[in-house]
Amino acid sequence: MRDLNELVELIDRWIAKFTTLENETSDYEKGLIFHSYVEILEKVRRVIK
Amino acid sequence: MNIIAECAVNWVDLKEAKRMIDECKRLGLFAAKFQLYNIDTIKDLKGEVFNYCFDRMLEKEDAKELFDHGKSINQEVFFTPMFEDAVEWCEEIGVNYYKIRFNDNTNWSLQRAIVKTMKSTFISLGKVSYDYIMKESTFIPFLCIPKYPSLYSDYSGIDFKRFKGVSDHTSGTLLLETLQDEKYPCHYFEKHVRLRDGTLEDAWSITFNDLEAVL
Repeated sequence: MRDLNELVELIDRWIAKFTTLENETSDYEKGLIFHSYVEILEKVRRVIK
Repeated sequence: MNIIAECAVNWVDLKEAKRMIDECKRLGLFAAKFQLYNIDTIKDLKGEVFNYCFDRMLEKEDAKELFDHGKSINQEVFFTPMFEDAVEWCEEIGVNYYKIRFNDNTNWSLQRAIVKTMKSTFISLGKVSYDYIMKESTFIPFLCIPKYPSLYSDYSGIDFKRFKGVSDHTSGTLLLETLQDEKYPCHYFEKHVRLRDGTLEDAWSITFNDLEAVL
């Protein structure tokens, strides 16, 4: 359980970093990655529940 | 179909805003929705529009009053937060849903704050950005054409199957009447509403009586 919670935190930190990067990634691509992250988060949370 | 009444800034004071919630209850609507913005969000608005919105800027206590009023009559009330602190307000208030407006559909920090709440979240997307949203997500994609007002013809040729709802900015009820047909898989329909004329959104909102006539 602790590992899963840490995984959620890790994913959250990663996406926070990614979405604030001033890089050449378009908003469209960022959106795609962001919402992949949302889906992963959902799956992990279901396991935690 | 679940109707979300976008009450937006179409009220004079909290008393009138609560009357809008009462009307939602009377019509059996899914939810009444209001907007949470701050001075930064509206700073680019000009003159009278700025003043109009400034006068209707909800503080946390106001939002709670509206939510609690809805709760007291068993009417769902939720908000469109436009800044991150507003998400914290909503969590303290105890909302069940969120909405992300079109202008914030690439505002990742705001979306991240909302994702952390694990609440179902309606998000306004454009015609082609539907594949942002994955199948297993708390995000519920709405088609939004960000024109005020938008035209009925703006919606022609759109594959509505790619969306779970529509955020409508047309003038009348034609789009709502069309999408109520069983052949459209539209689970949610967000419509701007008003109690009477003289609001900022007269051109793309309808009265509750207009709405009642097509339900």
